[in-house]
Amino acid sequence: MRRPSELAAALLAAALCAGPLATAAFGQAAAPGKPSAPSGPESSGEASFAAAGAWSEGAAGAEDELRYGSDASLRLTLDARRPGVRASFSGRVDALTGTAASAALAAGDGLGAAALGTGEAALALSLDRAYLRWSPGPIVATLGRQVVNWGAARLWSPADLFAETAIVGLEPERAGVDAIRLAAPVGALGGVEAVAVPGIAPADGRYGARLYGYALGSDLGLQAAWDGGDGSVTAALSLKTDLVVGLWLEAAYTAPASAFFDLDQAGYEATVGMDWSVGGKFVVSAEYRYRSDGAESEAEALEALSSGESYPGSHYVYATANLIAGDYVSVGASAIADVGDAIASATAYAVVDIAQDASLTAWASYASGSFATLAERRYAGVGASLSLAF
Amino acid sequence: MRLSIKAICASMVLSALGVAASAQAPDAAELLARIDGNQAFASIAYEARMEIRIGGQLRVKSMRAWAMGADKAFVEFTNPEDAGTRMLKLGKDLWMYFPAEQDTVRISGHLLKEGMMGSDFSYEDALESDELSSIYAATVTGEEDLGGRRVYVVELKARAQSAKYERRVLKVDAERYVVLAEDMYARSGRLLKTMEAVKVERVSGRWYATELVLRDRLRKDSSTTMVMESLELDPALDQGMFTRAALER
Repeated sequence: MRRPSELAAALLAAALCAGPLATAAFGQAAAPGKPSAPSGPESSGEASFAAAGAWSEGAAGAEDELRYGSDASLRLTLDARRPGVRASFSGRVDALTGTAASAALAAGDGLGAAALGTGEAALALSLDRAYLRWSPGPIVATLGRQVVNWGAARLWSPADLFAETAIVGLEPERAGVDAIRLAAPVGALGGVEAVAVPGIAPADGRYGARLYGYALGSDLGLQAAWDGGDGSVTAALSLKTDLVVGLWLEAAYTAPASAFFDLDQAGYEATVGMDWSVGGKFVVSAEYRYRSDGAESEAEALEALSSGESYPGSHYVYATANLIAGDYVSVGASAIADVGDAIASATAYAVVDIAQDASLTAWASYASGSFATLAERRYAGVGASLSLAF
Repeated sequence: MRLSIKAICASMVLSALGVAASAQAPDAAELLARIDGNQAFASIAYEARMEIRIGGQLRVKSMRAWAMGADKAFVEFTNPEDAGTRMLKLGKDLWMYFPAEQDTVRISGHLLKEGMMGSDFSYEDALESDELSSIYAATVTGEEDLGGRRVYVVELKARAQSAKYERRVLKVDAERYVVLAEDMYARSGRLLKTMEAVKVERVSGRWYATELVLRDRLRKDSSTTMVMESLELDPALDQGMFTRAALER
């Protein structure tokens, strides 16, 4: 769930209204035909309409549920650059009808056709990015809502100390966070970063740093963060390389700051994954995740869910397969399995590029239970969406 | 970006020298040297439109690109569907930045054969930066008329493992020293791709092909037209532009 962003909203207002920042960010547009002087503002967006229906097994003694809904959405992205300054905004409004509406509101941000429930209609707003970036020389400062993407894994990324990943639509997506970020390059392909997510009370914020680079054909990253909320420190590493197949490895170690080397109080998390392209038309990937303090009961899972953990178990596998089935058609499938709790889900989909910047997507999914609550309630759904970029 | 460097440079032979056609064909080594010499511009910047035609349908990608030599290039797509997507080429490594995810991904070796943004250009095409003379042996096999222009026919045969194509046949404008057509073959002898320069303009004293058509002969009814606009030669570019930090900036 994405938090409200006072900081991002304030920065956005500063950028869109009159003022020194706005002048700097939205000054003269680039003269046409001068590619060496990138500037702005530039706008783009996507309009889409999705409809979906689902069946889910009732809880003990309850009737099964049939749900349906639609989601008409508009995403708008504004981007402006002047030498040394950039402002970026991406937001989305969703008009939800049918039984999608109340589920979206109940979930807080359950946007997209996958959000189904009971209700009539709702309007939902979300802010994906809203930041100002200032780069006086090699140092880059970014303020506002942004994706702090430190991991290489797809769905479970222990090295992402500031970004939560979730399946949005058909693909994993990292969520933005309201942060202050300083970055400096080290060589052409490396760098150091410091990130602060102060929150409402700075003492309860989260602060971290990262060193990353590229060597011997591999992406490497070392990062650490201190969480003022629970007093913990997390140290993590990420590695991505290419040995005929693409391989990635991430690991994180979390312990109280006051007893960082006390292994009895520490938690571990690791992800390994691979992807492989066959003939440029068929791509498969698989990822395994382990965490040492996984939930072992529905009660523990619910407790983890309350703190935002959607995959509370210890052992998970995520696998995908995508095939370019024609000049304008691709098909694919993905599956997630909670190995320890014998819960699995699968989704199959087809995407048709129907015109310039327009695509039609259809999907069907099935789950044997809930990953978040470990409840064994079967679920099946189908849907379709039409999208147009502009 | 190799779209430009290869599609420009490899397609525009000898334009740097700008010499008039001679009655006698230059030898192959001299031709290759001139080709490679032509690729050695200090920097380039341009806007371009990539028109991808498959099965009678058209998709258009637009971009801005900057390059230094043959090893460093930076491309930013500007069409709505891909707006903000960027590519950085450093030597034989290729990186892509996706703005919605604010994510930078290195294109792994096993993914390089895929069509770039759905076009007839593969990522491998984009990465090819070796000098032709270092990986191919050349022979001038004759002269012929091509669309009303006299051309030298130059055959290249791979002599290095890094060569993407086993054999290439260039047709070089004998007056303007621009490659007007090229056929690219696999080791099996199968024709893989063809290139045709459909528009040649004089830019900063050089003859350049500013509109090229590439066809992947393994794809049915498919072609990609690259139209270059606002071409600047040797603009002042910052080295810091060709870094991962700039890709994400």
